[in-house]
Amino acid sequence: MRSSSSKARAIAVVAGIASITLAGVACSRRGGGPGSVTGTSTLDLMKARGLTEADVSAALKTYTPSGKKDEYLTFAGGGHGGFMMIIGVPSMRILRHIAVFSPESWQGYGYGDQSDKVLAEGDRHNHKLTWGDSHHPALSESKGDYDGEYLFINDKANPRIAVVDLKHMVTTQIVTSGLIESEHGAAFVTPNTEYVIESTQYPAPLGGRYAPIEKYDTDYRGAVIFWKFDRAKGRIDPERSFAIELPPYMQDLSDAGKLDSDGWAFINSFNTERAYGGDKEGKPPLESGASKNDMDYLHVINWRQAEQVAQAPGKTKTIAGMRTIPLDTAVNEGLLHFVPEPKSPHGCDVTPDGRDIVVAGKLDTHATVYSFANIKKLIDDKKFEAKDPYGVPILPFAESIRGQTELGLGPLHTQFDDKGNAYTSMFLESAVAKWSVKDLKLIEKVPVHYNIGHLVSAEGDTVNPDGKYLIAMNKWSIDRFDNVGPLLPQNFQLVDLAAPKMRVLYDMPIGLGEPHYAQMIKADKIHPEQVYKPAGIDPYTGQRDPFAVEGGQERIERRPDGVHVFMTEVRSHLTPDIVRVKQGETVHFHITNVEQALDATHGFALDSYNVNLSLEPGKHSNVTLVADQPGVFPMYCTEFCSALHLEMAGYFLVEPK
Amino acid sequence: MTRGAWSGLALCVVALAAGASARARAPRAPAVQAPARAAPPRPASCRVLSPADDLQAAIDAADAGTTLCLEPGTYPGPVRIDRGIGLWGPREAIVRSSGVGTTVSMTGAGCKLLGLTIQGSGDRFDITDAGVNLSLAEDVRVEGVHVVRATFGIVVERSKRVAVQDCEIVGRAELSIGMRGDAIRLWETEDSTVAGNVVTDSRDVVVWYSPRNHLEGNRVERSRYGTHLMYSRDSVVVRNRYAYNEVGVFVMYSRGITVDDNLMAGATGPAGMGLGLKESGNVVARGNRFIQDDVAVYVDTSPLQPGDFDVLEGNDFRLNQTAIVFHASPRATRITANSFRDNATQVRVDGEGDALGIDWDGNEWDDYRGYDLDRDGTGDVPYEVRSLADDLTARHPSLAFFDGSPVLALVEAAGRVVPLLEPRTILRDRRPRMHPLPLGRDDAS
Repeated sequence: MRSSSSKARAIAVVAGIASITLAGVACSRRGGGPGSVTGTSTLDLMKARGLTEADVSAALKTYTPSGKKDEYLTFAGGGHGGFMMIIGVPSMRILRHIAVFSPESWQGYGYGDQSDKVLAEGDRHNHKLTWGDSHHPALSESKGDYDGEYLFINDKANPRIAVVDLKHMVTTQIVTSGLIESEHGAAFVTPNTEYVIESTQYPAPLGGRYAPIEKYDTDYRGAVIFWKFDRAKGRIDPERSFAIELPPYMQDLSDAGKLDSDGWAFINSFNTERAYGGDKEGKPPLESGASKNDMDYLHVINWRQAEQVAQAPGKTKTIAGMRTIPLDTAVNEGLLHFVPEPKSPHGCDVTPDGRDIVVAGKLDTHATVYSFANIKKLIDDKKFEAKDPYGVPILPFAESIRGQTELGLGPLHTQFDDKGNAYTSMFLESAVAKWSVKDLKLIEKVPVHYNIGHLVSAEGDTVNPDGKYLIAMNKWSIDRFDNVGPLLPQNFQLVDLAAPKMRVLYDMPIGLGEPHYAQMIKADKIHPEQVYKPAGIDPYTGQRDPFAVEGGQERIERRPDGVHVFMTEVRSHLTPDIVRVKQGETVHFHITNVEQALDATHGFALDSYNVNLSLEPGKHSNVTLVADQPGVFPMYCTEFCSALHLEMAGYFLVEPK
Repeated sequence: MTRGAWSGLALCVVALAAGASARARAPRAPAVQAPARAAPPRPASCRVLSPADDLQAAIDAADAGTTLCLEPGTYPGPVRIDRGIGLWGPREAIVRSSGVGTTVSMTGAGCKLLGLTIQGSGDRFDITDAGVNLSLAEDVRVEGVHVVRATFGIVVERSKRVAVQDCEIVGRAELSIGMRGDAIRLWETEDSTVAGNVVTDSRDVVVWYSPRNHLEGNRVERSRYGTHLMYSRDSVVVRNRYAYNEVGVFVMYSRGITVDDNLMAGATGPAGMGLGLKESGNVVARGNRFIQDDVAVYVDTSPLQPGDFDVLEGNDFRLNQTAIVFHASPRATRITANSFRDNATQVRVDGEGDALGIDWDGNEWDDYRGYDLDRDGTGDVPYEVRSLADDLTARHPSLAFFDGSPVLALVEAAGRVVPLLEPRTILRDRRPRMHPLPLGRDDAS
């Protein structure tokens, strides 16, 4: 029963409401009476806009006046928009769009030689790829905490991992392996960013081979890749990376162990039924076939030991250039174990202390809490319930778990706070459930709108979560916003975790992509440089570009490989502002923004040659083109830079042959 | 304090206010023992087997169309029937699991499993160890079978025209619900009947990817989902008794569902609801009794498809914590001739929405304060629900303590006379009934 002190509190609140009500009467009398919309008192504004007291308190918690900064930065994937964005919390303002897998003209990404090279690293099967399905960002970690240096994000569609250097907030590398054909359990980092984990989603013959789908059981496989990150170079090193072959289940989300479970990785799976569709061939549709059984397998991987095995001679096969530990070797070396997990799970989230793993089956009503200590002991004791058809030992479910918490309908993903609570997104119920990890007890739920997927709390997947704020990343918005046509925005709902009861504070429409996961980091951990110093830096290497141009050194040179235009930009002129070439010549533009003033960004657009560069202060870009079309082509600065911005222009003259 | 305790408290308050007649109608404490089901009659001609015989060998030797009659005693499983053979036995004839795998598997056309007790199964969830499994079966009857302590009870996969009737499935009460399997599970199964079964201490009765099925006269008690329909169109759920489960009936991604004359009582817990509709359309729910549920009916984005329409008619809502919760403003729904009495909250709309856009007509509301001067049996002013209290309790959670109490009613009354706390109308029944509806039949069982 409720304690008498809470009763007293409740009575006090009633008394408070009564006094506010009376004050309200007094104010409205003074303020020109009910219905007045011209008044400026809080009460008048509330009345005019139909706001409740709760709305006002939510506004006070989120409103951020001009010049005031946010407390947290949320890095959200842009889904099949193939980008990332940074959102301030609690203001929920979008601060940046960062191009990753898709060319983006504002940032000049994919419109110049250096960024073209980054994008080309991600080409697959001789196809130039101009989009990605960017699901899960992973900030680099040191000792299990975000360190604010790098960010990794995956492309589910064309299995790739991108590295975003937070020093300049640009994508500096894309890696891909021909080993696998799709992925989902990525990007997740180990506690000191030793590795970036990427695991398959839809199995296929490893190495990009063909095999008929009827050979699904024998020829199709999943895999998990451990991409080695070289922090000193800020790059993933494919040569030092390795993979483990997995059975043809659909591996799903993953998480790296931390503290007690450091050295281990956990990956969910679904479709252990190995259904592969065939709805017009007399078989159940893939979705239904994959929902037949009641449990799938949590993959438990000892990556620290796998790292040793991968280096041992004769223990790996190189497939499509990737050192791969074959499935039977992984089993024999004790690298891979399964634990049954409730049907079609989604989230697989290690608790801040690293002792438990929270898994939620989306057709279940529980969060299942696995004890790493139990799992470790069962593995050490070789206490297996059975083996799967590929010989992988299966640990007994009941002995692997610490318990289950009944939460409600459709639990998916879990994040944590600093008080020992977990927050689980409830897809079917469209709610966030708060529960105690220690007691395995539901505390409360808050409805969200609609169909929540991931959720993110402040530093909520690290060893030191903050609580305070949570964003419900809702897949549907239905009736929440003004009608903008059939493609509706997603709805990010900011939830207050600091108040005694969770409450939605703010709805933020996401009208530029479909984010899946996000991470929320303390704003004071992120320290990007605001200008490239000294001028002439290639942001994609972080080094001074060999073609960097200094003021006074601008020139046009004819070399055996074509015409080289060494240009600078400074408010408000292009130097040189006339470039004369002959039809058919190859032209290399080398352009440096020599300014060092904050926010003095210029652009460089060239009519009809599909060129637009963004030249932030000190940045250098190269762009190469063949002047195949004769004519007169204006070139100008696309970023409004000064009073004489329109005059910051010139001519590219291509004389006919 | 837990939510359960809160709802208990609220129910007490409401029950006290409601008086003795309402209390008398509430179901009693959970300990309902299912009556033992008699085995179907012994077939006129059959080959008799005793526990000394090798059951599997006898099955393998029999021609399709043969029925084997088991004498009382214990027969070791697993048993596999792959063509139209029948097994009959009294309840004392027991097929016992070896502790591994599914105990009785049947496939093909025309199999029968009649009477008998199936005892236990393996305990693996990942391969769905069951008491009885029907796979790729057609025109199969499972009747009067008693399944005890199996991980899953009766699992029917990719089958057609199956009848599961008058079976009794008793789960393992000592396990928490998350550690139990389903009592009955239909997957990719069509045109089948699940009728007259009794399920206790199990997890769910599941109908997934299975169109045109008929569930009638079943009793599901002390389990989780009384019936869970997913992607299962054109199905009928009638005259079932769902008591003390977490959810009575949950209809998800399904269209054309009839839910009539069921009892959905005592649905409590983190998701406690009598009937839940998730993105489902053309659902008709009539003549159901919702008693002592946390939420009697939960509506989330239903109907979803344009042109679809949902109807709630002639249902009895009694002693629920909340009679109807809409996750957001509903549309394309008619709610008529229902009786709402003794609920702590009648209707709630989450997400600051309202239920003004749907058709409320001729319902009976025990908190209606209007009048009927023209004596036509319906109130002369609409019945309205206003949501001041919701806004207040959202801002001041401790106020929930006063839910359903005169204190909050006072604050609400105060709110009506001052601009700051102007209440929002969230539903309007244009013709509220003045007199109780002739509802309130005995239990649906």
